[in-house]
Amino acid sequence: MGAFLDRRELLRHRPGDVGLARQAAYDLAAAGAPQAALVFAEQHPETLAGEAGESLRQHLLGDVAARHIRWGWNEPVLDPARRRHEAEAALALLEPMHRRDPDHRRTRRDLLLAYRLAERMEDVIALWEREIDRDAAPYWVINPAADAYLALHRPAEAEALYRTLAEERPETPQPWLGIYWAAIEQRDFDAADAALDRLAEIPGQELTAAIQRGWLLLFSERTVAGLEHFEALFAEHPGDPRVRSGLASAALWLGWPRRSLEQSEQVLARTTLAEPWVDAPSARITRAGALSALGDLGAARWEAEELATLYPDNLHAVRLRRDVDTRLDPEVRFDARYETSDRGLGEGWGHLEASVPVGTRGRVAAGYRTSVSEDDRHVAGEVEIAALALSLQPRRWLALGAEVEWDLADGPFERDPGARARLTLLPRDRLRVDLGYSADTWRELPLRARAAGLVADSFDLGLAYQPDAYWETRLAGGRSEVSDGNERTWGLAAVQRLVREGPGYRATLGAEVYASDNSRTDVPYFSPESDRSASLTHRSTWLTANEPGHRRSLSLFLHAGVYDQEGFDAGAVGGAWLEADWDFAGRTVVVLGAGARSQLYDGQRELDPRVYLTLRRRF
Amino acid sequence: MLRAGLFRAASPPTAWWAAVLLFVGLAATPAFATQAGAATPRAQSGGSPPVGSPPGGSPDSGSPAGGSPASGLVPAPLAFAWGVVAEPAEEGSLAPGGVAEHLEFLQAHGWPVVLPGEAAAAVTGHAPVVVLTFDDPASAHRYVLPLLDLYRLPAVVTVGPGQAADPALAAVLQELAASEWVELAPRVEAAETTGAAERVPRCAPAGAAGDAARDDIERLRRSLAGQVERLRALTGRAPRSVAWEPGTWSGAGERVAARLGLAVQLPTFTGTPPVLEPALGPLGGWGRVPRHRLPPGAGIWALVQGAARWDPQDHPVRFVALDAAAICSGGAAERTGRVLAVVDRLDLNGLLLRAGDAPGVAAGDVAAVAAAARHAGVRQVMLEVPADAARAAALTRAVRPDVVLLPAAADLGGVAAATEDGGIAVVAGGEVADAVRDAYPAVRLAVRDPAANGAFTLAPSAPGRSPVRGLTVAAASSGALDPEAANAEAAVRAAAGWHWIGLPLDLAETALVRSPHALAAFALPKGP
Repeated sequence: MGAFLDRRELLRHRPGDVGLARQAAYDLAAAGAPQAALVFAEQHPETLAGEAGESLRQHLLGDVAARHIRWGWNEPVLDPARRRHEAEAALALLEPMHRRDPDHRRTRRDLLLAYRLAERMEDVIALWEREIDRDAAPYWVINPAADAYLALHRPAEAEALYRTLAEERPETPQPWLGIYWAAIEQRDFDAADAALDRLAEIPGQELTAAIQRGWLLLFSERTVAGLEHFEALFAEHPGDPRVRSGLASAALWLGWPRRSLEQSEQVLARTTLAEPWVDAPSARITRAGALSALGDLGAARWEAEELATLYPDNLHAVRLRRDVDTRLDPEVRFDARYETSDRGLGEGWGHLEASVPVGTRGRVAAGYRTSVSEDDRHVAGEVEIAALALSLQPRRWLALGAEVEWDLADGPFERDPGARARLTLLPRDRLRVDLGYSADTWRELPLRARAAGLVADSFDLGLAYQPDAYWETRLAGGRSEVSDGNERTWGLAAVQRLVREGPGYRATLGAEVYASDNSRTDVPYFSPESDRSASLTHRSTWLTANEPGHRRSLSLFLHAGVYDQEGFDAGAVGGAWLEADWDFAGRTVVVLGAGARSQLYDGQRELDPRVYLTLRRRF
Repeated sequence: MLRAGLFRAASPPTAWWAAVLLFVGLAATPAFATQAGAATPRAQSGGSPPVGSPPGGSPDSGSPAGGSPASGLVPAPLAFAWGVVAEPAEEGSLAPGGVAEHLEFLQAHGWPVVLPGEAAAAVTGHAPVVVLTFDDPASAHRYVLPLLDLYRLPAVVTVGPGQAADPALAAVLQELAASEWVELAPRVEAAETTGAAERVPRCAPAGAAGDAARDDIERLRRSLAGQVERLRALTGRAPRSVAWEPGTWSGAGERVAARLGLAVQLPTFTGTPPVLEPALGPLGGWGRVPRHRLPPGAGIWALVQGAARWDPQDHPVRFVALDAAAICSGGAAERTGRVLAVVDRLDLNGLLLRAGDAPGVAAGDVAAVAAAARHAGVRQVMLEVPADAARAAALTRAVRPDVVLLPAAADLGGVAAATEDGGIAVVAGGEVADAVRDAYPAVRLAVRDPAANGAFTLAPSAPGRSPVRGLTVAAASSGALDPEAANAEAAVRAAAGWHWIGLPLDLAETALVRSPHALAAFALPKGP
């Protein structure tokens, strides 16, 4: 500024000195006043004449455009509809300049920055790959190019650029964060962890690195470890909304929506404001996810719609809306299975069901179910059923269901319609109580019982509780009265512990005990006077793909134990099966499983195979 | 349809292996199954473009980068105050380029820049009306005046008593006054008042507070008259506005200024500037334009936040509440030490001084606690005053709180009124309200909610905005201090949109013996 003032003073004495005036304009721009320099130049129009004048004009307009870009990065925006204002102002200057002089290096580089600010990532890449001298590019040009590669899901190219930056500017957080994200995108969690180590070495970035380490645990499918990490951070930094956000997401990913909702609402209470309008879309996305998980789909949809409208370029907001919409879409489901039970009787099953939502808290379904027996002697027990069902979740803590089924089989029996009702209480995230009652139903009965025209009235009660993120416990019991007078009572207790988690793998070990009692043994179907068993269970799940819109996993289930039937010797039993799951954005789900079990029936060992397929599609 | 019942009649136990895993869905749902809304990483960890953003980029979704402030800005007039401009910028000063950037930002975004006397008429409702003020005439003359000339922007250069009397500045002031873009105005500095807030706390009845206030006003009258006369002599024009340094502005001071022909008041605020109401009373009619003092190195954030009357550090407000006994217990060091310990552990940004029921506590003692808390980072001080208007005014004058919590409506004869939705609307009027606003016109009023113990409602921060609700959580449960219950209550209130939430000092001390985690609902992020 001092130089400008001095030259302006000289200019009073030499008013015709164009070079002096031009230099004064450059001085003013260099002092940080490019708009004032333009005004000054226009007050001395000869400064803008000729090649030197054009060069001055381009320089000053470039400075003005650069200033808009910087404002775009730094300015708080209280109206999302105008988020692009500065980028657009910069582009309005830079694009014509670039068209006029495509070889102007500074314009090219600033244009790349403006595209990045406008989140026009394809344009960033096009400019970077075709027009930028990459070997000579400074860090502030490399950085947006790397961001664009990352945004366009080209993480390897992004990482290479971030590593270049990290060599040049290891003391700044941007390259390490870039490497971290690019590595996660490539599921290279060790590289992401190493980048966080470097980030944590930068003064002032320690907490950021610690928070991202929690996210890394979540991204690498170590949800429980991630939750514990965020809980430890929360004890140290209870006021930090980023820590609370981490806790909220960890809880949601663990299937604890209430806790997630509580934390997200605390984040929102700290980071949002109605007047002026200050928003925290990430926390709102998590909150909407929690509402969706709690069955409050109306509120979730309202939130998702608003987020997607306000932030149409935010992939997560758009994905949230899609996920919530998917849950409210009509569904068609097909199940097929083959299994052996009831002392070696094989049976194939088919089930087709269509359901449509009723409002946001209910669903009506209509279905058809059929079975085919392998043994011609029991064809009378084959099932052919039409069913109509209604399920409701009127409150977050309450789910209700009712179903009526009609016998369509052309068999010897005249069965009245069967009815079922189910009530589920969800008072807390980690506690669930199920109560079920069915009257005059037959499809769950063994084939031989169905072939005898029997029906049953049943009552069951289940309780599931998770003391913490590692343990799951279950208690269940029930009683049935079969129409032949047989009264059956059963009970089950099971416990399961998470023993290994991520990346890409999860394993549990558990134990369960079971006992049942039947009042009649002189019946055609398997009905032990009493029996009991104790088993160890194991489940391994490998996550083989986890990308936006596509998730694939493979699970192995094992169990081994001792089965003791009254009147027969106790013996070992066990089983194994594999299940593959494909989930395409929740819209199409395919489950395929196969396995076998070794079981004792009246002291006789049998190997029961089982194969099943589920297809679910939402429209 | 319904999930298959738990009953598998006549099946051996191993038929349960499928049923067991399906049972209640817990086991069947892999823990790493993603949920709607918890979809992917980057949204969850702070916004979509965090990667390698250019320095200064703001990845946090709460403050998305890019764009122009169009909503949330308050169109009411606002002044910005710059200090010394120097090249190269030294500590405490701003470079000319920084000022130029501010001015270019205002122009680029269409904020009308006017002189103080034109501010009220310029309000259109679309953009904030801005008055530019510079407090260092010498640097304003050298660096700012050429910029004003090029940008064609008017500005006020304020002149303190020392600057007005400095012979070396006489020529500068004359040249500034000669510019078509500059208007000179006197500036009242803190040294001209007795400054009750700076007195040593003594915890005894305030004896001659009324005399001290009268002395302050007389001293102000003499000083300001001298400044006005000096500026008139130097420039040949009488100033029309007056700037007030923090801690100097009052209703009584305004009346002094008005009698000297200074029609527009420019009180200075270092934090978020309030929206000021027009002055009331027989001398009313002059304008009030709050000045937002821009700290050295301030970027455009400071402009936008000032115009929006929003600073993230003020939202939400979590405060510690001191009753009269706590204000006046033990020595000065002890009572401030207790407050500061709690403020520091929980990073609180608010303080409630319940001086209303303590007739024996001197205003200076209350002010000393407030000053210490402010020094420790507290940004919002709320003062609960008694129904005695004179006492309320004395306390307000000494503390200069951000908010005054009036006594219950029943004691004030209609200061508060219930709204249709069951809330409380603050209604202007009432002797106490008038007294405190005369003592410190920038104060924001709040009233007790008669329907809820500890709850109160603050007047809107700006026209068109909603009242803000707050409360002090219950200190005790079943007769004992219960941090867990207090924390739970605070969490519920926060989620319900209550913005000011505080806890009593003794409760905070009890809980912090355990851990700050016990009061997580009150804890705020560490400040910058």
